[in-house]
Amino acid sequence: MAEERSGSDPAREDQGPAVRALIAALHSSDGMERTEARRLLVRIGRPAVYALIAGLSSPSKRMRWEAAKALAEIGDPIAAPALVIALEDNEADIRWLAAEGLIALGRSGLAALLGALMGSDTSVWRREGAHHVLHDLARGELHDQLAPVLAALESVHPDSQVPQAALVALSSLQESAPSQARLGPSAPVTRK
Amino acid sequence: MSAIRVDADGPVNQMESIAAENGIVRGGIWVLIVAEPCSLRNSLQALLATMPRLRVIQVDSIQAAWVAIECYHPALLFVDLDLPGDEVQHLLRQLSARAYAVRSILLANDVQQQKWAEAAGADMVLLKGFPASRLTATVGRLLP
Repeated sequence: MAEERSGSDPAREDQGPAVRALIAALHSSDGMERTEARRLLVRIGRPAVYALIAGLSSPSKRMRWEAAKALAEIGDPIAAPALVIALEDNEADIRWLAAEGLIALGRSGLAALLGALMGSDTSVWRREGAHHVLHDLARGELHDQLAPVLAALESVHPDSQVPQAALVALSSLQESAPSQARLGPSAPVTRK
Repeated sequence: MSAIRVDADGPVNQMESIAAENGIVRGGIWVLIVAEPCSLRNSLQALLATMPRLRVIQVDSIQAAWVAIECYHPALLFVDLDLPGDEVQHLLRQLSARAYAVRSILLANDVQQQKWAEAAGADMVLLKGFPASRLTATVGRLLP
């Protein structure tokens, strides 16, 4: 029991060699090979997420793009903080993928996103990415909580308005959240 | 997929080791808050978000904390002592045993919990209700 709580992830260790090989294949110049590797990493799910999060920090644009794409498809909430960072990637298509990944996470990605909006050093790219995500999610049942944050993002002085709006929205969402929707160790949702 | 190589020193290991050594991903230092959703957690996140370089993650259980630690290699860990004491103690022991480069700040409800947390090996213990200036000073002392 102690070992179960110790942070060891047997699935991760079992899949280690396969994940390493597949991550290496994401560097391939062969598009078909990269696509197949990404598809397999998505099937592996959580054990691949650790390496894919690291992949978002790669100096290689190709690696970051593939990692963002795979993480968006895996849909594991633990990747949300890394996807939020990727909203500030130098490459527009990677920022777009990160936003799509956060949209796919829905409510379970919002703690990371709203938390990142509370800072005083929020970049234009982060705000643009957040707007992309929140605009999409506010179309649904989260409209009431997210609309004030969107309004703050669209305001003349977002730096002064967004942090407070994000804090209020986060508190409101947590009060109404079902426990399985929180950022946590829940089983990854792998989309087919 | 025949061209795929299994390389123990390949990109994954290189990237993981870079993250592990620095506790840094893309120009920031990760801070992990482990607490049930509550105003304390959100206020703490809001305060930390005002500090330059810090990237904050929040999770609501020790189990989730382990996943976040393995993914993000945080440099600093806040743990609410409203979580089960045996799990918190186990977390601290394992962090120490594995030589993770993470400093821990435990958030105690009273002096009794504060003493317990100090004995359990926390790097720092803050009594809830601490002023923002105390938090800033504590974080500044513990982070590189």
